[in-house]
Parts: sequence; structure tokens; C-alpha cells
Amino acid sequence: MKKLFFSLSLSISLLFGFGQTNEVPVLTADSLATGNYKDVLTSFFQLAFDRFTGPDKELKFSSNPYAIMMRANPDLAVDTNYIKYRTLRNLNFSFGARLNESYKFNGFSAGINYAIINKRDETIYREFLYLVMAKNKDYEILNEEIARVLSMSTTDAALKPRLNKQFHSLYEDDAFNFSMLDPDVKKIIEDIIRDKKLSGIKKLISEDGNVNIHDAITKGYENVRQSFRNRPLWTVAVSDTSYQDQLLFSNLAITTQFLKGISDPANNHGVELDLKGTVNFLDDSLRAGNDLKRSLLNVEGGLNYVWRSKKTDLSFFEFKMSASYGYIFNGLYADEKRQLFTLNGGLRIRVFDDIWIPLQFRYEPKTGNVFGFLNVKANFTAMSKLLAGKS
Amino acid sequence: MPTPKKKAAKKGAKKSAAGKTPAKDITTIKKSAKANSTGKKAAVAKPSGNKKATNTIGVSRSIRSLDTTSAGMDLNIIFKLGLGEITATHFREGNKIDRKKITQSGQVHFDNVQVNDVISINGACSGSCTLITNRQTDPPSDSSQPRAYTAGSIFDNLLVEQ
Repeated sequence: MKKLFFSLSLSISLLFGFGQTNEVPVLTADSLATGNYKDVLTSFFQLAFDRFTGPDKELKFSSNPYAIMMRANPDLAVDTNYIKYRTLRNLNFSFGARLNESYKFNGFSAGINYAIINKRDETIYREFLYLVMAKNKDYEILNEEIARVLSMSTTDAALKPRLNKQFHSLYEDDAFNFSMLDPDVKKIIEDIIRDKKLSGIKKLISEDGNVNIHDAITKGYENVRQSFRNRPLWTVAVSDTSYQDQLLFSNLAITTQFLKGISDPANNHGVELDLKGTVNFLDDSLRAGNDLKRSLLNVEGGLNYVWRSKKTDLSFFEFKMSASYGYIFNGLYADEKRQLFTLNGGLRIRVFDDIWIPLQFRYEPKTGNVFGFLNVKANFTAMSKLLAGKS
Repeated sequence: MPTPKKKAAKKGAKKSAAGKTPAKDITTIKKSAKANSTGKKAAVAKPSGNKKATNTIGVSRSIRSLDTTSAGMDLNIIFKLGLGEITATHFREGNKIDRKKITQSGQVHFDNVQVNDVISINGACSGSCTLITNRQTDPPSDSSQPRAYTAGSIFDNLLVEQ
């Protein structure tokens, strides 16, 4: 089975990664998403081996059409195309193979998932740009005033290149502090800060003469991005599973899921609300032939705790608690109860940048039964890095 | 603040900048040298919608008379994996000569740009951005050394050398 898993990983990597000589676009917005978010909507590729400790396993590949198109044509990354293909970027498709307890093929699975609302993706909101520019307005004024000084013939010709170079370092270099400026360059900057009443920068410098302006500018951007972290994501999905021996539907599921952050987005400990509803139409195995006459509803509500690294802002640990209610409309079996209430939990640990190991468990209060499943979810880019020995 | 990633940006920028049409959404701001010197606010022109960039030289005769080595300057700007917005301002002798805003990938053109003029770049992008000019500047911004900006605020000053 391990061979199968790695063969599939390698094949997909070769197909999408090593076969390309073009520059690989980096989806930075996605790298900071929570693991829970990526399970709901992936913006690149995800390879998952679900429930591999359980009797009903699944090897699944998810992606979105835009990501695949972009691999073939990197020009699609240009903003005009990025906006044009917004619908495709919000669409996910998946396919997989189901395996039984002895790792034998047990049917295909396939599905599509569409984000009706995806307000967490700051890359498509102009409002985000306005907020970033407003946050760093003082730095913009200072930049323009330096341009004004540089353009004047009265400015010492020997000073100009130094002023230009050091000012660029001040804004761009995370190792260049304010105290490293030459006294004459520093005086020009301080005069502008005073004359233009740039109180934000003035305060920073007065508090710490060794302040790093590059970090302060980056922090302004990060603060705005964090404010988008709590925004809602609402998806609708349709998936199906085939029979073992034929490509007819044996389980059709219609799912809707809603995620929204409810804690302070600036805090590295966050909580998000996770609501999910599924209607299943399954084959009634008591009836002869193939049909979808057994139908059931499952509603789940829970909270996902997210622990982010203070340094990188990456989520590295998540814990989800939820309660679910199931109701069987049609096709109740003799040993089944029409209604079922369960408590669910999920522990998710990020072992590499894009590889998560989620452990899911379910508890049925009435019977006292506990079920546990171990999964592995890997983003394609991480797998590619691993195989290339870069990670 | 952008961190130039020259090697990474070079390839895409070269490729994209070559065949780009002028920006579809460019706002221009005219300002005469006289108005600048008296500290008056610049007149803001309405967005030009889907039209090409308008020639908006607002230079007074006195300043134009100083022009001995001027030429046009093109800024080719490419935003990738997100939206972006840049305002480019042309400075000469401490005065704002012209200002243009671009809200999607395209080209900004300034007429009559002289040696020692400065083009100030301000804006933001949510993915990445590359800027290439057709003039020799400090820091360099030609196609062999494009200016590359990562997601976040964009601040730059290009001192025209040739």
C-alpha cells in the first residue's frame, strides 16, 4: 500500500511539477490558511489518504481547475486573468479510489465543490489594497518627500546616491535599522517627519532609535491581512461513490459547509465556527439491484481551535470539537436507529509546511462506542519539495 | 516594503511586459509647476475607464525650457496572483510634474522625463508585482534588472540617470 501511495504521489509530482520548466507560481495567500480551511477549499493541490486505520479507506486527490491551467500557462497568474477566472479559482474537484480493509479496490469517488462566499481570499479584494495603503500612509508621504529632495539640483550631488541607497535599504532591508543611517541622511528624513507631521513614524523612532522601518511596514500589511482571517467561507459540494464493479452511483452526497472566525484575528490562538450539513442518497442493500432509495441527513456544528506560530503566523496545531445529529429518512435497517447523536473530535498537526496529520474520533453517547481514524493530507507543492530534497 | 527578488521576477516580467497593452484603468493627475510651488492641491482627473493612458503633461513653459535631454519614460507594471494598484509621480526640481495611477497590469507613460528627475512609486499589491522601465535609473529598473515587489505595500524611488 505504501508503494501505491508513494507511486501515486510521485506520478502526480512528475505530471505537474518536474515536467515543467516554467517558474512555479507561489500561492502565498494559501500558505497561511488553516488546515481545516484547506480541507473545505484547497486553492492548489491536495493529496489525502483518509481513514487509513479504518475499514473504509480512501486515497483522494483534490485541486482546482485554475491551478492546473496555471501550471500549463503561467501567464494566467497575471491579475487580469486572475480576476477573469475567479469562478474557476473558487471551484474544486476531486477524485479518488476507495479501498477496503485489506487495501483492495472498493469503488471510485469523485466530486465538485464550489465556494459561494470566499471572503478570506484577500487577493481579490480591492478593499484590501486600500486598507494596506491607508495603514502605511505615513511611509508613502515620506517616500514622496524623499523623491522630491532627490529631484532637486540644490541637493548635494554626492549626497543623492547615498540618500537614495540608504532610504531604499531603510524600506527594503530587514537588517537595516534607522540608527544605521548616515547623520546627514538621517537629518533629511527626520526633518521631513517633523515638517509633514508623520506622527506614526515619529513615535516609532522616539520609542526605539534602532527601529527597523521595513519590519514596521510589513507589520502594517500583516495587520490588515489578519483582519481578513475571520471572514466567512461558504461552500456547496456534490460527491459520489461508485460501486466496486461498475461506474454507477452508490452514494450521492450533497454537502454545504460554512466557516467563520470568531476570535480576535490578531491573536495567535484563534477559534473558528464550523457548520456542516449533508444529505446522502445511498444504495439500499436490502433491495435487489442498484438504487439510491436510502436517504439520510447529517448536521454538524463545532468549533475549531487554531494555534499559530508567533513568528511565522502558520497554523501548526488545530483541535476541533463538534456535535452531529443524523436522521435516516428512508431505508432504515433492522439494527439501526432512525436518529443518531454523536460527539466528534479532530486533532490536526502540521508536520511540514503543507503536510498535515489529522486524527479524527467519534463518540456515540447512547452506545458508548468510540471510533478513531487517522488521515494524512499533503499539499502537492510540499510533496514536490520533499521529493526534490528541498524541504 | 518590497524586497527585490530579481532572479525570480526576471523571467515572468520580461515575458509579460513585452506583449502588454496599455493599462485599461489609469487615473491621471495634472499639476503645473506653478501650482506646486505655491502648495496648491493638484487637480484630480476622472478615471479614464477603459481608455488608454492619456497624455497628461502639465509642465509649465519655464520648466520645459530647461529640458535639453528629455525623452519619454515607460513603466511596464505586471501584477500577479492578486490585485494591485500603483501611483507613479514624476518629480523635477522638487515639483510634482505629473502623476498617474494604474489599477491593473499595463503601461504608464511619462513624457519629457529628464536626467535627475525622479519617479516615485507608491501602492500595494496582494500577490506580486514587477516593474520595468525603458530608462537607466538608480536603482536599475530595466528589463535585465526589473524591480520586484512582494505582497504588501509598494514604495520605490527611481532616479533617472540617462
